[in-house]
Amino acid sequence: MNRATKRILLVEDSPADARLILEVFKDENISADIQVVRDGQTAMDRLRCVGQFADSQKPDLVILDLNLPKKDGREVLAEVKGDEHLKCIPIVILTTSQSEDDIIKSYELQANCYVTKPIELQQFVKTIKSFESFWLKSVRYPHSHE
Amino acid sequence: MNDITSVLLIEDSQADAKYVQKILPTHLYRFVHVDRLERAREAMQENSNFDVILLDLSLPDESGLSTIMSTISWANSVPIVILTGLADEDLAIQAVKCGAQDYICKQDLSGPSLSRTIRYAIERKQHDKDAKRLAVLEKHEEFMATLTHDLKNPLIGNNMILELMAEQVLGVVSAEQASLLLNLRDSNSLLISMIQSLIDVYRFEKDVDSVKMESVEPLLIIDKCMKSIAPIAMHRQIKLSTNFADSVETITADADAFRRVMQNLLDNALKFTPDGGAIGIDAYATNGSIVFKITDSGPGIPKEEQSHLFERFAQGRAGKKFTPGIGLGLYLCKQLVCAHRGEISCSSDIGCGTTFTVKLPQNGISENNQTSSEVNYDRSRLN
Repeated sequence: MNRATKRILLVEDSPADARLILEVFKDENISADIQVVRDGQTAMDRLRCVGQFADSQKPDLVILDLNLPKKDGREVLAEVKGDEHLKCIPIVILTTSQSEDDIIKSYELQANCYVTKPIELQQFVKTIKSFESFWLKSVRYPHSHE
Repeated sequence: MNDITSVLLIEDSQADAKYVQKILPTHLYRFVHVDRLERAREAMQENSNFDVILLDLSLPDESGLSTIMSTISWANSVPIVILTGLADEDLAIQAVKCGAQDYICKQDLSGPSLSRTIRYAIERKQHDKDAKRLAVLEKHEEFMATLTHDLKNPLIGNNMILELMAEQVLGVVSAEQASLLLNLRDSNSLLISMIQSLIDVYRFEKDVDSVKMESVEPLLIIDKCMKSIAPIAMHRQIKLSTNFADSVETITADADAFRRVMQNLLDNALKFTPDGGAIGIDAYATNGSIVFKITDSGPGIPKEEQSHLFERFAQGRAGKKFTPGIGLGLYLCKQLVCAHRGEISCSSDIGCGTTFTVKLPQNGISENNQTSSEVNYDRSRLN
């Protein structure tokens, strides 16, 4: 099914980056239900809906930074894609890293796409908007997690 | 300041830098973003027209208080607002003590709070600058006012002694010596009158309202002024004439100020009128004002000099060549006329003489035009 408002899990350890992304979403009137967690372990708890997230529902989409405390983004990616119940959730890597190794490794681990955070503000806003038009307006999601 | 605020943003966190740019309206703010102090200094050299500097205190090439110290050293008094984290609030306060205008916590950033902080920082800096400049200016003016008074008094004493000597009260002098003593007295008198102009300028700059309004008969005063130049005019065969309309009987004005204006304008006319020329004064009433026109048959004043005539210490090229003076006469006239809420102007063509026109309200200063901006305008030139 395609609910109008998508649940997005933003895994981002930098409060400044998280705030910027939320601000752009707000400013561009992007309708989405975004939750922010700041480390890889909490991200896994949230995805599995355990612990403090027992009452939550699985997100439709994950935006994942690679460098995270407690559990690294690459580990999170590997765990999600190795989990029968989670592997259908699309994962967008959004990171400052431009390293070729990170890109290859992410796709090997079955990331759905890999985006480098643009340095310049207008470009950054453009990237978030293209994210909206693709992941929130064009893409269809699996009918599994209701 | 124009509508767009130009911001130099010094911030090494890309996310924070983008956030700051994102929350301020793009049509009101223009940013130059650098992530190092060294680059900020370069940016400042390339374009010094920044309205404000937003400064993070932990940069790769400098951190802590030394960041603010070195920024101030090249900021050319552009106001500085510190961007700080929660943990650094004490540091930010110290930075403000060192000369930053304000600080704002990055966690508290929002469009309205940041734009308010920026606006206040710019306003406060401007206010500080103005206050400082005004204080210096006032001190300077006060010094000059005291100085001119102190300069004048010994000269007056000197003149009394010179006259006593010339009149042989203090002993016998030869006719030649007496004549030299009187020459000395006359140059002293010239100095005294120049100093008196300065004193008046300072007096009326300090207190526009120090004019004492009373009912005066302008024609009597003008007659006296004419008489004072008559001997020299006669000697140089300059024809003096007056043409007063019957309607000009009394005017509400400061008698002393009015006399000075007329005397200054007549002295000027006399200076510039060639031997055998003519000087005339017309006076007539019109629409509640009285107009005085002082006309001479001098060489005229070039158009490009006319606009500066009434400025302080302005003096036309011709004036410099022919006559001693410090360029205060017309400035003082303008001040005095403005203190009466009147107008003074000049019309002249090369080779066709010059006419100065003074227009004064016949019944003095009415209640509803007490505040004059013209004298303030003159003051603002000094800044």
